[in-house]
Order: sequence, then C-alpha cells, then structure tokens
Amino acid sequence: MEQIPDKTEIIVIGAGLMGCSIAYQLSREKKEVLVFEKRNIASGASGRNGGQVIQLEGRDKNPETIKKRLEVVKENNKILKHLEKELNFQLEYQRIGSLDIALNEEEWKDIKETVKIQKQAGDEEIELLSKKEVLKMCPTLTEKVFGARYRKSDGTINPFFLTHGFAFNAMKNRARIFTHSPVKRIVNEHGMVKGVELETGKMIRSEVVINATNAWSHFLCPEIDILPLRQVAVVTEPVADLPVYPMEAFIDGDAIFTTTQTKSGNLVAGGFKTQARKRNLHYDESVEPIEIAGSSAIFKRVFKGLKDICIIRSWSGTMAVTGDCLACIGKYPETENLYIAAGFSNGMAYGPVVGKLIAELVVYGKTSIPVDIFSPHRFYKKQIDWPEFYNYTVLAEFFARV
Amino acid sequence: MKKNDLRIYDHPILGKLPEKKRVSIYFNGRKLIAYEGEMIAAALYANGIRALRKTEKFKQTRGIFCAIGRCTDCVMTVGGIPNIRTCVTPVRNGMKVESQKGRGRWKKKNW
Ligand SMILES: Cc1cc2nc3c(=O)[nH]c(=O)nc-3n(C[C@H](O)[C@H](O)[C@H](O)COP(=O)(O)OP(=O)(O)OC[C@H]3O[C@@H](n4cnc5c(N)ncnc54)[C@H](O)[C@@H]3O)c2cc1C
Ligand code: FES
Repeated sequence: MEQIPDKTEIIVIGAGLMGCSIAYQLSREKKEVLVFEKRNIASGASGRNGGQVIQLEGRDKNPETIKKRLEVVKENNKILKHLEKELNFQLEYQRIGSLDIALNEEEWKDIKETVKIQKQAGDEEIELLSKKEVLKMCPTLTEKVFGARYRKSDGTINPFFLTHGFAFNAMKNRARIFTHSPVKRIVNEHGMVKGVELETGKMIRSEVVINATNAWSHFLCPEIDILPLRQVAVVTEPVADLPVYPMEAFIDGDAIFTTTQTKSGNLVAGGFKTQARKRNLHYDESVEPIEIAGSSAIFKRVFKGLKDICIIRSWSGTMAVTGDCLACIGKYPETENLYIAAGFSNGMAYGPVVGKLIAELVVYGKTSIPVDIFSPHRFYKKQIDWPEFYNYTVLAEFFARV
Repeated sequence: MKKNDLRIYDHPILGKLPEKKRVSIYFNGRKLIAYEGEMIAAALYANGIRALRKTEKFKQTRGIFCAIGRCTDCVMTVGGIPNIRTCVTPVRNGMKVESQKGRGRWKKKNW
C-alpha cells in the first residue's frame, strides 16, 4: 500500500459524494489533497441512495429558505448539466423531472400550498399537475392519485458513478485517497487546526482539514449535533421500459420515494415502514423483514399494475439531518482552517456544488453564492432535544412541533 | 388424454397421471393443449417447446433452468405482461404466452 505522508496542505475526511467532490475541486486548484476514508469510496450513504436529484426536497414553505436553497441547487444543476463531459465519466444522468404525488385529499392540499409558496419565492419551473395530467404523463400511477408537483429540471443520476467520477478525476489531478483509513480525531491547538490522527495512531499535519463524514461527523466535531438517520431501500428485477419518474410521496405518514428506471431497467424504492430506532442503531446496515415488505408494498400502493414486481435486493444506509433539515456547509466555528460539509439528507442536489463552495472558501475565503442559511454557526454548541426512538416519520412530527 | 407428447402418463413410482381438464393456451399465436394445474413451462415442454426467451445483450436462447421460480431463466410475456416466471405460473384457458426478447415490452394498459 502507498505510504501515507506526514504532512500535506489539505485533508478531507470521508470519501462519499461530498468528500470526493471537495477533493476534486481542490485538486483542480493544484492543492495537495489527501482524503481519508474509513471504509471505501461511496461505502456510506453515497453508495446506498436512490440517486434522485430533487432540488427542493421536502415541502419547504419558508420563502426565505426556499430562495436561498434555490440559488445553491440551481447552481448544482448547472454543474450537473456539463459534468459528464467535464469529468469524462458516464454518470447516467437523466434530467427528466420529478413528481411529488398526493395520494389523499389532505396531501393534495399540502402540495398545492407548497407549490404556490415555492412559485412565489422564485421557483419558476415548478408546476402543479391535475390528476388527469399526471396520469397522462405517468400512466403507471394508481388511479387513487389526486395530483402532483412537477419540476422539470429535476432528475436522476447514478450515485456510484457520480462519486467515483469525482474520485477518479481528483486522483488524476494528484489528490490521494486512502481507503480503510479511519480518522480518530481532528487535532487542533489554540483554536487552529493542526491535522488529524488516524485510528492507527499516525499523525498527519495539515494546513486545512475538512470534515465530510455526514452521518458520522459528530464523532469528529461533537459541538454540532448532526443526527444519523437510517433509510431502507429495495431494488426490483429489471423490467421493460415504463413511463416513470423520480417521485416523492407520503403513504400513511411515511415519506417514501421511488425512482425512474436505472439504465438496466430496475426500479428503486424505499422509506415505507423503516423502523424507529435509538440513535446508535441508525448505523446498523442490516434490514428487517418488515422493512423489505414495507418497501415492496410501495409498488402496490403507488402504481397500477406493478404489484407483482419482484424485489431482488434490499439494503439500508445512514444519511444525516440537522435541527432545521438544512446541511451545515462552511467554516467550523472557533477553529481556524477547519471546515465542515455534513448533515445531508438529499445530497444529490448538493454534491457537485458543495465541492465548489468549499474549495472557494478554502482558496479565496468566500463563496460565489451566499450560503449563510447553511452556516455551521446555527447549531454550534446547541443541544437539540431529539426524540429517543426515531425514523423519518417521527422526525417529521418533531420538526412540525418545534 | 392425448398421448403423443412428452408428459409421463405412467410413472414407474408415482403411478398413472390422473385425468385432468383440458385447456388451450396460445404460444406465439399457436394453439396448444395443456391440462389444468400444469405450469406454463411444463405445458410448453410437453409440446416440445424448449426455447422460451432470448437474453438482452447476447440474444442467446434460454429455457427452464431451476424450475422452481428462482433463476428467472424461463420468463416470458404472459397476457401482455413481461417477466412472468412460467415454471411457477399455472396455465389458464385461452392464455396468451409469448417468447420474450430481453426485457420484453409492456402491452399498453397492463401496468
Ligand atoms: C436509502 C437512502 C436513499 C437516499 N436517497 C436519496 C436520493 O434519492 N436523493 C438524494 O439526493 N439523496 C438521497 N439520500 C441521501 C444521500 O445519500 C446523502 O445525502 C449523501 O450520499 C451524503 O453524501 P456524503 O458524502 O455527505 O456522506 P456519505 O456518503 O455517507 O460519506 C461519508 C463517508 O465518511 C466516511 N467516514 C465516516 N467516519 C469516518 C472517519 N472517522 N474517518 C474516515 N472516514 C469516515 C464514511 O465511511 C463515508 O464513506 C439517500 C440516503 C439513503 C440512505
Ligand atoms: S426456470 Fe428458474 S425461474 Fe423458472
């Protein structure tokens, strides 16, 4: 194995989408970059997700955050448009739009309200589709659908290829990625970052350290309480081409997702009946039978004739949420030259742009688009009273209360 | 029962095949005799048909492999729905069975 150097300019911790995207952008700036990854490239949430690129995931009804989120995710979409060419890497990116469908009257009301607010806040692409329109576009859907939100520049991407595309190009630019090399702690002295110590005890000195470990970030930066959140997904047999879109919906209060077909024809879905657990059990990557049954049931509930579709694999992964559902991107408070990019629950809409923003911060000290709503200061040393047992649904209720 | 096919009508251990109701199925439009309770793939085999589908990439011929619904080598388009494992799907009178190329195609309205 390649020898790990004793010192470098920049250390990135975590080789998920965020870490690899950051490493790529910094390597383009001719910085000396080392990435340390506990397991393997894309072994965390970045290799376990649905690949949906949904710009305003969730039903954000706050005009202020919508506006600022849009600036960032629109930039992300701009980068994605030319990324295959830039990276010279097949990403299976399909910009085919996404749907948020209502399966009951109440949901329909909520979607209509969300669309109205998001449109007013500046999302000029967002559209409301009536039952007839959505069934015309996606005739596979259940007749029980009430209507949907549609955004045409959303889409889907292969998350493995996206992460590996960045990693490959970062290494081409002489960044080095050390897999199976967990970081034990970030070393700082007098409010200044000095480097990292690996689990093996080895110290590496560095001018800059970036924590991109998402669901694991609080182990290294405990002052910001980022919550791990486990999610389950299943993949079906490859089937003949269907008119399907990346979708979000609520079934019995659970936030579920289904994707468009992968290049080989499989469909991915998840989120229904994911069990509520204690915080430390959100890192467990096994899947319970009821969760597989739940994820399979999505096909029966959302589609007309896919109830017999066969599930061929299931898995779970751990993403992260913060106290206001927006990620933490930026300089870490009270420690010079330490940065954090963590707290992502819909990383595909952020990965490429986060690399660019962090690189701008590190190299030029400021970002080209405002990121104050993502400021790590929001939660610095703030205790959050998370529910003891939780899943996505429990957290949604928790956020509705606070 | 008709005897000029590949069914075992008199098994040395299991004994005689009980009389069963005759049904017809259509293989690529061709009418075939099958018996109630038989699996589609078994009925096709009995009628001498062993090539059930072509693979997506190399267009190779596939037929029954595991015969217990695990391997998906026997999938065909049945009643307009692709990917039906014919070794574990019983015949029905008038059923339309078609050999499948690759992932096949959905006939409209079967979703
Ligand atoms: C089932 C599921 C479905 C999802 N669906 C979607 C979707 O459709 N669309 C979407 O946008 N998002 C989706 N997400 C969320 C998305 O996957 C994440 O937001 C995104 O992958 C986060 O990327 P990341 O690089 O920040 O984190 P990760 O990919 O988790 O990377 C963090 C890395 O840090 C490493 N690490 C941790 N601790 C250490 C340490 N001490 N030292 C070194 N390395 C360490 C980990 O091993 C890991 O590889 C989904 C998530 C899941 C689980
Ligand atoms: S032969 Fe294996 S599934 Fe039918």
